[in-house]
Amino acid sequence: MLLQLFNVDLTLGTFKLDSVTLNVDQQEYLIIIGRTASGKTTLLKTIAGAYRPSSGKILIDGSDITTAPPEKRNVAYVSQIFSSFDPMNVQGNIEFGLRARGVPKPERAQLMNGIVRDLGIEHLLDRMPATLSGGEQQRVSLARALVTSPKILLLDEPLSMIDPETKGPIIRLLKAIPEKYNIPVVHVTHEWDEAYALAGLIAVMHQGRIIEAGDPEQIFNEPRNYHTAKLAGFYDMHKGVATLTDSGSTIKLDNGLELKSRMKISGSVYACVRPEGVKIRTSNEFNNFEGRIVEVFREKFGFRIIININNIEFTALAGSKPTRGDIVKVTIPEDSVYVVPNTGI
Amino acid sequence: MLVGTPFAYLLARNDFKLKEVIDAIIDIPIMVPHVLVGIMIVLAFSSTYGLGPFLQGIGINLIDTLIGAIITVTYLSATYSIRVVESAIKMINTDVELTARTLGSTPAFTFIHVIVPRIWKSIANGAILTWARAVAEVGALLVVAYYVYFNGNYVYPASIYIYEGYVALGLAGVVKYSAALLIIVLATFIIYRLVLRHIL
Repeated sequence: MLLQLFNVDLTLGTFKLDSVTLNVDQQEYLIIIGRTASGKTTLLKTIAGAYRPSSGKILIDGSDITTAPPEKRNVAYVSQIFSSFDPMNVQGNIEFGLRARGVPKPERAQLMNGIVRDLGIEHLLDRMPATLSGGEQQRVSLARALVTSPKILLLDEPLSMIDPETKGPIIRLLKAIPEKYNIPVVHVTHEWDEAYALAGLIAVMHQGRIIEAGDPEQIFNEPRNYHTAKLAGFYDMHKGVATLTDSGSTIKLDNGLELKSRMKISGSVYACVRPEGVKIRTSNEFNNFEGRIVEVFREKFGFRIIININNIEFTALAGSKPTRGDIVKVTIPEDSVYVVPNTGI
Repeated sequence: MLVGTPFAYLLARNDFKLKEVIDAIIDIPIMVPHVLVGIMIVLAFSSTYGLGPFLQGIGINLIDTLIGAIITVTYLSATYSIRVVESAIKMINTDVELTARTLGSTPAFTFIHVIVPRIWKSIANGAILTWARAVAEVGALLVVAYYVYFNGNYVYPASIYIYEGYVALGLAGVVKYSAALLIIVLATFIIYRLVLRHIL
């Protein structure tokens, strides 16, 4: 393991990182995902050396760097905002780390030329950072980080300031980094699509704790708790009580509505349904309801509609525009009802 | 600049015990009449009180000396420089420094090559405000360095000379000195602004 965190605790005002344990392999692409203020950026900055844990250990390549200053960790941190070092031009920015380390000028030029060629930014070297587009700034940030040959690359929401057309190429670039440079990447985001596209491993953070970690497919299809399911795209999550049946379980929601699921589970649960699992005007053996359309939103693929069924709202997708207030027949196939136990997280 | 800038960085970037006390001490020149500050300095450094006997023992005398006058106006005026630079540093996102540090830059290298280029204008503004405030100082100098024995002569700070002239000779006797000081300060500020605009 190249990066290991053992029971890392940290208190910052009222916020607390709570016993964080992580293991990251040499060429792993780890995504840490969580809602705003879940602690993901704090964790990343703790690995970078901005904060000193109150207890626990951080090891990089077997060396304990828990109390080492950032410049002694050999990790490269790329922040959410483009941290340009003014008034240096792009070349000055990329060479900054090498200059700080006392690398002689000819060697600096050689290292920089290699990295700018890799990232396709040779033509930007004389430009001032303020004149670059979001995508160009992010490439320069990556070049500046990678040219120092870090042992780990730490990315704090690197796609948040980039327009949608530029995201695709940058995502390809990021995905190639672990193998190309033989380093692990730890990338923090709150965007599920970004996480799903890039991750080799996903860790979900909530209130300063890692509540779930696993491969992306497992986290997406079989989340183990409420907050992971919410991040993984289950729009509608309703509390209820599950009882086992021959073919799965029946979940009696708090409003009396009964949903059948193929999952065998009992007790206090959340019934989770993705919008694509809610079908309008089709029939099924179970889970047929009548509801009223209470809101319609335009989306890229058509329309997202909110349907009120017995005072509980479900989200569905529609190709043609429905009318608000219409009464519609709704069915939710049993295999579209995913159930997570109500564990309080 | 040399004292205020590092001090401003320390205050902008660190939380430590007694920071509020340090903050209040820096603000004393804004809070109280400067005569009172002068009395504090005399109590601390005169030949018979506080550190005075010790300093005199090693040949340092702060009362009615150039070094005493400099220390007095530095303390009274540095507040402006510290606060201006502190605000500028607080405007810089800490991620910029963390990025630089993880690239292998020490705190000193980061300060010189990343922070200073972003705040040099505030440092310059703070410095000229501090200088102007020092030129205008009267109250504390009346107590600490009413006159300064320098290079074989007794030298009076301009503000004290004008005040004494007014008391002794009346308005007519000091108008030319007042006008001269005003012109010097005004010209300095105008040149400073022009230079700043030219550089930018």
